[in-house]
Amino acid sequence: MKVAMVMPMAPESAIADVMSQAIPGLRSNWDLEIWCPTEESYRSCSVPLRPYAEANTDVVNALAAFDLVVYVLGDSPWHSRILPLAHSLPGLVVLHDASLTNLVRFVAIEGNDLEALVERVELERGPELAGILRSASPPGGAAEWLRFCAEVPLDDVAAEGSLGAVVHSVWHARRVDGLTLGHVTVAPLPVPSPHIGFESNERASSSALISELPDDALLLVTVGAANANRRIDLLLEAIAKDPVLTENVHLWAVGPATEDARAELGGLARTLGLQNQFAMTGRVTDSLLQEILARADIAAALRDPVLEGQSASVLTQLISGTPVVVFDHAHYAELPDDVAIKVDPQDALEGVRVALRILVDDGADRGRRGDRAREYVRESRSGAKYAEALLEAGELALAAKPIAYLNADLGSRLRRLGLNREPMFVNAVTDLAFDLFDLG
Amino acid sequence: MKILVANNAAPFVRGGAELLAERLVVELRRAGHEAELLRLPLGDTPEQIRDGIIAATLLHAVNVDRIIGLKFPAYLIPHPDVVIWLVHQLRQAYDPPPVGWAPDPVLDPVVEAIHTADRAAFASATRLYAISPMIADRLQRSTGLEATVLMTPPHSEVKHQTQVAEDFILALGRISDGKRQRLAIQAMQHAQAGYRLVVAGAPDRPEDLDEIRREIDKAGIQDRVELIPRFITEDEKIDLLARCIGSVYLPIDEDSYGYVCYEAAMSNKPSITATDSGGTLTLVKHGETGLVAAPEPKALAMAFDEIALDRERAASMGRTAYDLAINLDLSWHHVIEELTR
Repeated sequence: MKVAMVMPMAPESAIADVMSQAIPGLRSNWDLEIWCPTEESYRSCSVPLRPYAEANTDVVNALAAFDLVVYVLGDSPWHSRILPLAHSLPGLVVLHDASLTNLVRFVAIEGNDLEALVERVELERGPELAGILRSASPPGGAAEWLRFCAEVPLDDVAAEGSLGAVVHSVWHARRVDGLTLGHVTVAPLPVPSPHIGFESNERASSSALISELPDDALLLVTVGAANANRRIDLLLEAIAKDPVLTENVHLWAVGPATEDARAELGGLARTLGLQNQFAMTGRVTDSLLQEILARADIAAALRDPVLEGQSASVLTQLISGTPVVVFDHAHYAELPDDVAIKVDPQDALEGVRVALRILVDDGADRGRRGDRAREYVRESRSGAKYAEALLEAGELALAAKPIAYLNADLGSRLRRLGLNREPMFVNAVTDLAFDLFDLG
Repeated sequence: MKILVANNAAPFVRGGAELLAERLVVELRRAGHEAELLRLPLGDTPEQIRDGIIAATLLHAVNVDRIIGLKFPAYLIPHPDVVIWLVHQLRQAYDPPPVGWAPDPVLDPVVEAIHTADRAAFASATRLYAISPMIADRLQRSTGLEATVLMTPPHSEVKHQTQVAEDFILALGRISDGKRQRLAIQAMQHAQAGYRLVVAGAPDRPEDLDEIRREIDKAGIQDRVELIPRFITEDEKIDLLARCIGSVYLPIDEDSYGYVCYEAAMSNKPSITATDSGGTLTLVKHGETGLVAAPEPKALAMAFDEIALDRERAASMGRTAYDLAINLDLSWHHVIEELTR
């Protein structure tokens, strides 16, 4: 079977890293080519690599010659030249993020279609949310925008007409169910490689941090961009609230951060008297990240709202043998109970404090959880396992091709009379198709 | 040309539109075309109407050069060459109550969809005709679209006759609430002596006939109203028209010019109709080809008296009505020429 996988191939793309891990498994079953938007440089690749500059008709026509096209989508500009192809030529979509609001909005702006997108959201979600989508600057700032992205994920737009979807958690699968013409497959996301491609630190002082850390300090890390939904503020407050934690725990936020975030969180740490125990490393090299994780005693991943379909950074933390504290929601709730300590997000501050105390107070338990975490990831995650799931999803997507033709025909007939936006007609025609073709 | 005539279908209901569609097929074949009639079901409930639209939308007209669409939802069938000869839109979705639906959370989306689909179908049609000025006017008011008026020829081509008027006014047509024969009977209670009203036609429902009879009995005018409550033959109809003083036809907001008025005109007889009868005003010009009265018993009685008590004037208006009917060129030749050009 001839398959084209359309994905970013920039060395810095974490999604490219995990997808690349599946390529050996895929190439042994598929006649595979990787198509990617042009970049200054590319990852090495064991199958033919076809960079393209624009998502135009020529590319669509060339992709149409394949039996199946797999589109890899995430909520970043890396994917802005991929989504238009997915809309022109239905294929299997791999959805790395649960919210694709930024990507879909960006592509709409690029295609001069923002107003049509806003109109669609207004029809489905009302004028207030449509207004936020138009401006992308809600009154509450960045935090509110993240909440908006969770509430209006636009994954329905991204997955529209697709032959199937691959997601990386049961939670995400439930959300996507019904948005694609085909099957939704849950595939085990591999752990990002130890060497993704970051070779320089954002801040010169980062590498000195480990040597300056007291030997008896308990290092709590949270890895990933220091966005408003990472809840670093909550970790600081939980530490400050508990004298044992205040006495023992150092918190490092490992990942890129804006100057505003640095100022805000630095200010909070000073207010709470934790300025000597708190550091923001900025973006770090792959090797420094490994060093930090090796030194870390506890990890925390307190995303709220959750915008990604699975947490690659949590997997990275688990494989390093670090026990992790998460909120008991979204895909985090799917982690085994002996691997992660799950905190009720409704009782966040006290819950985080108690979870940290459990791990701080009992070094043996911490060790057991760390071992189990490493074991869990090794058993359940690998490029080969991921490829197996993609191969199965590919077969199911092929089976959905006739439905795509049916969908296109029904859609054009309804559009002709302007009935494609009348739910009672869309639902009735869909029900009819389900009954006639046994699609249930 | 291979032509598909598309009409709607309410099972076991047969009226003017059904006769028109069948006749159109016959006339198209007579003109050398291959023609077939397709009837799409249309129910009454919101769900049935939705399904009717969907049936039309999903239909694939194979081996057809042109579709001639007559009624909702048949004219929604997708085809690159659709000529619409509009008998009427779905009036429940356009007219104010009681003909149209009152605002309703269940019906409103259906109404909205009908408007949307109609606009798209009318705008994409190869040509758009309406069967009467009334229909064209309604279309213009509801959608802003202009249709060419192409009036329907009469169903039959019988040779109408004219005889000296006897002492009766004739009310032809199916007996029903919509045709308001009851109103004509109520008018007879106020009419002067010297003539009768003959009501001839099959009742739509037994209850319609019962009501008419009760009205006659209540007013005690059995001697002034003659009922022929059954389907009458063409010969009977021609004979009644030939001998009457004039015809009375009181539909509510009729879509077409009204065959009853046309047949009266072809028999050189004037017609009486009501101000709210709609399309009948095409043929009934007040004081010229007949009389137009308010839909009230006393006003209608005055109109009855006017033609019954001045036979010369009635005959004169009848002759003018005949001239008007002839000038309308209600020929199938003209209709087929337009619909197939």
